[in-house]
Amino acid sequence: MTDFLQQVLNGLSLGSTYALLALGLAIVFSIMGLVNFAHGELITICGYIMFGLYGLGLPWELYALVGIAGTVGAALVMERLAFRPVRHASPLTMMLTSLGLSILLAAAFETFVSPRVKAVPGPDWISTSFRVAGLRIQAEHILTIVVTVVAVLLLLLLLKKTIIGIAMRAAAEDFNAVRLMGIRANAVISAAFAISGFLAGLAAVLLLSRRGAVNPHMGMFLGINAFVANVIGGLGNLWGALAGGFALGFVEVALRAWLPTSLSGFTTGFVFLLVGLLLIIRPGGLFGQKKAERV
Amino acid sequence: MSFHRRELTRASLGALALFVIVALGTLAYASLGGSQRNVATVLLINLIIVVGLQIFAGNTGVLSLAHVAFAGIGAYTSALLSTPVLVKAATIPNAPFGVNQVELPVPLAMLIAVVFTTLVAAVLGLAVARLSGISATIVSLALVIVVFALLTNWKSLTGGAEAFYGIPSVKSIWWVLLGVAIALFTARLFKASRIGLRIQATREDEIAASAVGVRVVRSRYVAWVASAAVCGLGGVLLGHYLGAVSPSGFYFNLLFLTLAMLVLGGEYGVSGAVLGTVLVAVVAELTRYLGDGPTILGVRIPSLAGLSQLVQGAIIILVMIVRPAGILGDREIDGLFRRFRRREASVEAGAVLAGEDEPLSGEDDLNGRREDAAPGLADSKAHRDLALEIHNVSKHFAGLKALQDVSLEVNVGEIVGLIGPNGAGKTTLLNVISGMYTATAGEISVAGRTITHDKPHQIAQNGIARTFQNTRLFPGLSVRQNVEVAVSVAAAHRAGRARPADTLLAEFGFDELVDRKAGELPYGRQREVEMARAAALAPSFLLLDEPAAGLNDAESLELVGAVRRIRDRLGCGVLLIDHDLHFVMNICDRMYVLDAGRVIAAGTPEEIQGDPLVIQAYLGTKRVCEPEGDRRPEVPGHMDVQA
Repeated sequence: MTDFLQQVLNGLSLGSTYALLALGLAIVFSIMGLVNFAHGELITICGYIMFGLYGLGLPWELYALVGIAGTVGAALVMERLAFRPVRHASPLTMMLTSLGLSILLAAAFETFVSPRVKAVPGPDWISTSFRVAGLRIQAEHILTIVVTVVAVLLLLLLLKKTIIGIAMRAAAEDFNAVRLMGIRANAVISAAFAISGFLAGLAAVLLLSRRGAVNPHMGMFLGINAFVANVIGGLGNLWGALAGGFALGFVEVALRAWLPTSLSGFTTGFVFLLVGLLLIIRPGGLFGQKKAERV
Repeated sequence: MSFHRRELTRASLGALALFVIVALGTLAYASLGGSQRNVATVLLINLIIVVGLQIFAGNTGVLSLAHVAFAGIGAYTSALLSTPVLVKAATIPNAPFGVNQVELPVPLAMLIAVVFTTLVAAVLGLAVARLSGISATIVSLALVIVVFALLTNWKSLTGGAEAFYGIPSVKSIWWVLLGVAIALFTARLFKASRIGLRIQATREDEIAASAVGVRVVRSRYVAWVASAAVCGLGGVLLGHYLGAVSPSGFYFNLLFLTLAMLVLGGEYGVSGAVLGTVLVAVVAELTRYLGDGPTILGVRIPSLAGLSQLVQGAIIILVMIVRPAGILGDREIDGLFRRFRRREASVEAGAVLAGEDEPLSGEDDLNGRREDAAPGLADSKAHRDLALEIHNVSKHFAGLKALQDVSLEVNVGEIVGLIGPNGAGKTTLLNVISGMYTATAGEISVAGRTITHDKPHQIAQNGIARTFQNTRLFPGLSVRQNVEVAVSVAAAHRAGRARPADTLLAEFGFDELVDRKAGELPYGRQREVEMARAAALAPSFLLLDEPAAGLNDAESLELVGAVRRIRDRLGCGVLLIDHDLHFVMNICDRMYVLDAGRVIAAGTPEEIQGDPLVIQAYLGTKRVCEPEGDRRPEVPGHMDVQA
């Protein structure tokens, strides 16, 4: 039982990271139909910013803040340079652009920083742990879960109460109608990218505090996982992205914990196998409604 | 020579031309020395995989990344079957299936490997072909990751993450050239084939494709299997060329490389795949040179790892921004032979024109409504038995009752109008008949056969063709190809009734435009292409959704003549929706009026014209129009009134 609860805790923690990433992807997708393969690269970017600052001897919390701010900036730059020129192109063109960007960024870090892993140590207190009824609870678990809950609440508040948030929700329904209301398309899309960058920055900081290192290719797999979380929940559906992120986290932790050791190497394979099966049974994901095209 | 024969000949010539160019180029380069020979051979193997990728991605428009997985499956299968028993005893002593007991000759192992890859794809495709768009991409990516995990972790079979070595090596560039020839001919002929054309139609517009009788899922499935076979072949050759395989050789590096190659040249064509492969390979050679840290003019350039991927990423982004369809788009090298072909085609079309068929858009006979309806046919018993009958059909969308108990009948040889204000349910009815929606209740039958639950493609194959309110063409295909898709379906399913596309195109007066992309034509012409495409199905019933929308008075008069002539030629019944009362009254033998999902009136145009219910539905008042002996209704010509 304790083992089970321990794994639930681990699942919540990993799921939170995926959920934050998946939410950012979903916001951008719902507004402009872009499947952003380069989303995971935001994590790498945040990691390298923190790595670059590490030598300065400042407190970790400060690096984290700068890292998040830098990630927001990077998301905005991505949108401006790579995605704005293809905004009106087909979804396939946009997707390929993001794939190209993802390849480019990973290769750039490899070429201009180093192909090897670089250390980004977390703060000392992150590995503090205490026991509650046999459960080993680490500070990072609490931090991750609390940050995720707060981020989701803030996002909800933004989407429900602010003009730009309402405009974003409206744009997800009908972008042209929003423009006719006199709201600038660029503002809505930039806001979406800023939010996705912010969430990715949070996810990156949480993840790096656990892993303590960054490498050029870590973003790609996280991005693919976030992408998978979205597809599980139904692309473009924010609640679906959240649920999909947690589902993916739980499945991964469960497989890792309970697959016989001889099969443990297959964890990723099994996760993707399950996702493939899910999509074949429900092509729209768990919560996606099948949108009938009007003819 | 038929269109298809001609297309296939041209495609073969194109494939041959591509092959000769590629072969001569690589052989010339290979003759420069050992390392050049290596580069040339690897380029050719990559070309096979890129061409394999093109077969699926280019024709279906669905991006599948699974090509590297199939290359990996092929490579490992052939390697495991042909590697000497002695080597396997050392590397994989505990291999399952007795794999380490067999040692097949290389050609046999290669053949079995390609067949096995194809079979694996055939099973996976049953599921994948049902997906479209982004879901398909994700599943294909999942497949790549699963195959990688399998190859890495099934240590007893594959030897794990490290290289599996000792594969009998096949260094000869001639073997690889043979593979290239197979790949190029397969891909180019596939694109030009009937099935290939249908698949491209699904790429252009899935809904329109199903409306002309194309089975979208099955088409995609065929492309998937063909693509996997060619990719498997590429993988097989790669393994034997290198003499060793490792799981990471069939993972993201190869995926990105081949994707950049295809995207740069243009995914819609085989020539584009070739051009892109060569260009990226050249750039990769240059960057490898730079990445190694060479000394140029005495300056040592620092070694740059990852440079080639940097360039691949940049290439993909730039192509997407500047020219999303790639350098060549869907153009093929055989397009250069086109001048020759066009002359031949125009001779044939001329012959048709000079024959018995008069062109459709010609002089008009407005008052001949009764006379040129096939006399007496509509009333005969035999024709009644063939009728399209709609019995008490209802269609509800959640709470909205779009259609309630609608019954109507269209006989062969008859033009029936369906009018009603916006939101009356006219288009919904058309969608229910053509299978786009399924009726909530009621029954639809043709010639006594129930079609209520048939799929759109079945309904089209059974002789009910339709057009769309917003015109749905295959915009990236030529006018001729738009029509050919339907002709090929008619040839297979409308025994003996299919008419050659040349004849149809000539009747609609498309002579000069047949090779233009349908999406580039002016609006009016696009509508005609759609009508020609529907007529090409040789339907028993033709459903037209607002054919006169957006046309001026003169054009809609011409349309009246055109629709009647289609009816006369095909002997089909026509169900026609329009707002334009004037137009409908001119063209129809009978008409139905739909309001709020119910039929509120039925009869001849004269009867409808005076029906108070109709007037109320259209204008919302009871006493607007007092019909006199005048034939024309006293309502405005264009009844685009929202009551």
